[in-house]
Amino acid sequence: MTTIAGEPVPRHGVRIFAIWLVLTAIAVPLIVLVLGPHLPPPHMTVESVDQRNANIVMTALLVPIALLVLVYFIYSFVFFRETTDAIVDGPPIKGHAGAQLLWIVLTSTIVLALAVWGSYTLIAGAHGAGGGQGPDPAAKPTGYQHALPVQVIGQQWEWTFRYPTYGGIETRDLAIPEHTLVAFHVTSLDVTHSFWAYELGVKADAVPGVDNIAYVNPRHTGLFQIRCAELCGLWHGHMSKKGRILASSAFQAWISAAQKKNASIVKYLPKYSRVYYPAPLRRAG
Amino acid sequence: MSAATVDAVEQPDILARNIRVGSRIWAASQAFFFLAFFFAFLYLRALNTSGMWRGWPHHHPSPSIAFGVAILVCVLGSAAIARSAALVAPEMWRATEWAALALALAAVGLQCAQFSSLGFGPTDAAYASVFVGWSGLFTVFLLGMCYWLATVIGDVTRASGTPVVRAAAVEGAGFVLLVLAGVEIAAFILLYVVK
Amino acid sequence: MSATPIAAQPPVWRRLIGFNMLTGLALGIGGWFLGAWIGGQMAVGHPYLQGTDQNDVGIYMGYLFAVIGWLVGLGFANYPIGRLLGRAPSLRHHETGSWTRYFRLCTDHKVVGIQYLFGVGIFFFIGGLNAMLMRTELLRPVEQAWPASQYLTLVSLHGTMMIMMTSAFILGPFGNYFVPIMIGARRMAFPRIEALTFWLVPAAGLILLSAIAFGGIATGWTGYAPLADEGRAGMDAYVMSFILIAISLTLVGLNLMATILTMRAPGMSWTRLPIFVWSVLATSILMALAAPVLVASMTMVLMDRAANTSFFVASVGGSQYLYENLFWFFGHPEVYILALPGFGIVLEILPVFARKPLWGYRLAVAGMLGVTLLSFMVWQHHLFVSGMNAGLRPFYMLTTELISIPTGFIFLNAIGTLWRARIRFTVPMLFALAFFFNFLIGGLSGIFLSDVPSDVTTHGSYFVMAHFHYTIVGGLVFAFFGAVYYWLPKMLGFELNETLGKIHFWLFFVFFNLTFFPLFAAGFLDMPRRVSTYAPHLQTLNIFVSASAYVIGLSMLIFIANLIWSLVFVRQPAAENPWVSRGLEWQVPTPVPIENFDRIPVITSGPYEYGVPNAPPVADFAPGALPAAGR
Repeated sequence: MTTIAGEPVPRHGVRIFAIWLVLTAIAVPLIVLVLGPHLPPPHMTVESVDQRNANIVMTALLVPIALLVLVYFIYSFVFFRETTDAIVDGPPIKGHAGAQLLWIVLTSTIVLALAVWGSYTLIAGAHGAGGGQGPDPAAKPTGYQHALPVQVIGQQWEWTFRYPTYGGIETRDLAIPEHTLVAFHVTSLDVTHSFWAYELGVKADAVPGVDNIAYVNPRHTGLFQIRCAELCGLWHGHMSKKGRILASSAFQAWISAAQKKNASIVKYLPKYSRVYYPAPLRRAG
Repeated sequence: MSAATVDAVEQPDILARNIRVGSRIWAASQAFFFLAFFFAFLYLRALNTSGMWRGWPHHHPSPSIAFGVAILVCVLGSAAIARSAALVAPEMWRATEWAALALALAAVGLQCAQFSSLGFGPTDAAYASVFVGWSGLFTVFLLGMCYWLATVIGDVTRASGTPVVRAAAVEGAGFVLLVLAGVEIAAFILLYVVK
Repeated sequence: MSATPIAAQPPVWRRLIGFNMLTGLALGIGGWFLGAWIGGQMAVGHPYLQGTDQNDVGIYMGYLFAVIGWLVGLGFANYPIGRLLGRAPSLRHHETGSWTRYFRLCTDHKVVGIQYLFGVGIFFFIGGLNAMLMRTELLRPVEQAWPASQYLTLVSLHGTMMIMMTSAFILGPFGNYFVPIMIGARRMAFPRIEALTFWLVPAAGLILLSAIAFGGIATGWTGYAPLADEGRAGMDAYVMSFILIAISLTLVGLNLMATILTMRAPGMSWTRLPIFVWSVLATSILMALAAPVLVASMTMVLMDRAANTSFFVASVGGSQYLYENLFWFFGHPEVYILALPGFGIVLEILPVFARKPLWGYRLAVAGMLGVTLLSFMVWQHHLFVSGMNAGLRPFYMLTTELISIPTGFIFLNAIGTLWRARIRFTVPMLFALAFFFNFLIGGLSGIFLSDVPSDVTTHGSYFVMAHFHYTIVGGLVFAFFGAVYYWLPKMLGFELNETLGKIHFWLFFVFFNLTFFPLFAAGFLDMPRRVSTYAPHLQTLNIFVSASAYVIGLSMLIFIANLIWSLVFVRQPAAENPWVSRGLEWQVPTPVPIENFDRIPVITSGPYEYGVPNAPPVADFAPGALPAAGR
């Protein structure tokens, strides 16, 4: 195999490395300090903060990789271009075992580190990261037994919510108390939807016949956006509404009022269940 | 390009090798096709959504096991004969290919007969769906095999093909049938025994 | 029938009613009515078909008979019948003849390649037009240009058509045309199957388009099942065309794999195989194994719709997870069916215009085969928040991130090849280099999606949409145009205008990035995919994206103008080897003769020996000592 070194040529490698080092030294602090706080999602819950941190770390790690490749390419366009019209062959270098080995070791290290770190934040740090974990969550936060269960029911094309610990009432608005672990039990009555509460950092598919659990730990009060993130038919884009994180007392007041309002109709609702099986729906719009 | 080279387009030895390689790939494609039904069976059975895997509480679809055994025997016999024709007795291929074709056609016929007296339909929940889908599509693939065997016989009886190509076709058809027989064994165990 | 020799010159009307596209179309339409009638008769008296307002059996039978009619009209029945009767019809008369052979069954791999180029190209432009119409709707955050149902149909048609057609975007035209030439063969392993794979494509495309007349498709290209079960008759068109295209892809894979395995010329060892052929081989493996699973899952949807089975109906024991698993078990290899040929094209183009050997040839091969293997083990990363197998998420996170290692090899190959090279910025080289820029962004954004905490935010948002457009448009489509500018002089025999080519490239490259990079931000700002209404504060962003998308459309018009200008008006004959490439495909005469080589050449050297002192010519084209036949 031909080696690269051994000819009186400019030290391209050193130059490229130097340019890359300067750019990286500028870019990474900018990403962490300037761009980072604006990366999604907003910091309303413990889970969304973890997700934002994941986004910051990955951006800070991946931008230098992108810079390395880009700096190399642009450098090569400037210095390795053919300036004449003639077709001249370059040096017949077919490979370099050391460079290949270095590349494999480097990329493997980065990738394995990412996978280990991702798994750690998923399981230990972020207790499920706000994603739907199915009926039997693999990563449970501490005190999950005492989480406030809130059932999220998707149907074409509306979200409704049931509070089994408050008499199984069903509401059209979602409110959850702050500083309380909430377990969303997401299910669907017809087709697949996906419950997406952007500011909470929650996304869980609503699948018919499945109780999909996602945990969330609200940090402070405020409004959040609810959307459907899985195409569910004609008015998919209209399955959006605002939810609220309330202070504990305000939540108690709200749920009492809702219970009162629901008192006369709650007996007509189907009994609270983790999943519902309405008759199969055929040929809707 | 002279006419002579144009005529030499399908050289027997290349064609034979192509048939050999092509039949392996085709068998693999078929295996992956039925892998989907294999997976569907095990997955739906494990999930047992709404407790409806086997059907309505008082109506569990049960296909006739006699038909099942008969179909299995026909398919296995057809594959064994077609395969052994290639391996053991290549000089007997006329008889063996006829026998393999007859058995494969018998399996198709038996499957049709079973469908006409099934006692349940595709609407009877998940097991019935997998049963109808798997057996039905298997029969379609088996019909395709029957066509292949018939072309081999067509070549044999009219002696128009070259011997090396004919041998490759016999061998390739035998191999694909063998894989189909493997699928049928899995289908029999899952659809009739495990349920 | 087909064994009868063609009469010398029959009158025109007689030639029109032979086995050709017109006959196919006529029999196809006739078949539709026959099938629909038969299906209607079949459905009578079956209780499980009652209680529904449409007879899907009739629709499917209509499509089935239409396809059969189309194929019979094209003459595909002649060979099977001939074989049953013990005849072995010759391939010969399918391959000679005038321009009309482009409009009928022709088993010459070069004709099929050009048929593919134009057939797939037409559907690519229809799919692109759909994208323009979608961007028009998204100019305002409320419904304005199209009703919601039509918008969804546009989304679904765009996605389905692009995925279906771009699956064969490179293997169809360039795989069929160049693989036999590059390995020193006269034809493909199965020329009739090759013709069949192409003629299924227009059938699938027309059936898919017929969905517009049957109530549209409301599911997007993924066709998630409970929604697909309840959709209008347009879903039947989706299912049927996807089955057809998947059969076509399976057979393309089978044919190309068999060709590469058995038809290589003597001396064409595995280490001399052009890297494009390696990428085609890797892609064929994926096609032959993954596409049948799609046929099976689509068949299950078909049965759910036509026979009321319950594969995907939860209340009757089915599960939507079954569909998601089966679909993505096909769907993720499909992503690499799209990406791998692109890798092959750019690595094929790079050494020619860098005037250097391909750096790290073995690493490139290992990368492609590694991607092939790993791509079967990552599918559940599409389902991180579905609630399925949550305990397995770290495993799929790991495999998904592992796949970036072999993909990274391709970048290292490019880096090594450009090292101290003599780069010439021709149009194909520009497209190949742009591929690396786009795929870099596409690939790195994929790392965000592979990380579960990050994916919770980005799943199902415009971030995903931007990511896969960066890999598929930025990767595959750029590689496709690189291949078009690189190989079209050989395929069609005329030079393309370089200035128009460069204008096309720069408009496409700049406005592609201006279109899709902002969409990462749209995804980060919680814009879900496939909506016609969105948050009002995203309107400025969307107007910007739409305006850029229109310029992409304009750049495509410039490409068409270039084609028409160069092929119809200027007609400057191309040199036999305009790029001074060492590739075997450039050493044959320029209208490539009907069987490519007088004698099967003996390969004497690798295709990338640029600058190697005393490198032998790539092949010996008149191996006198050897017989004309053979490998």
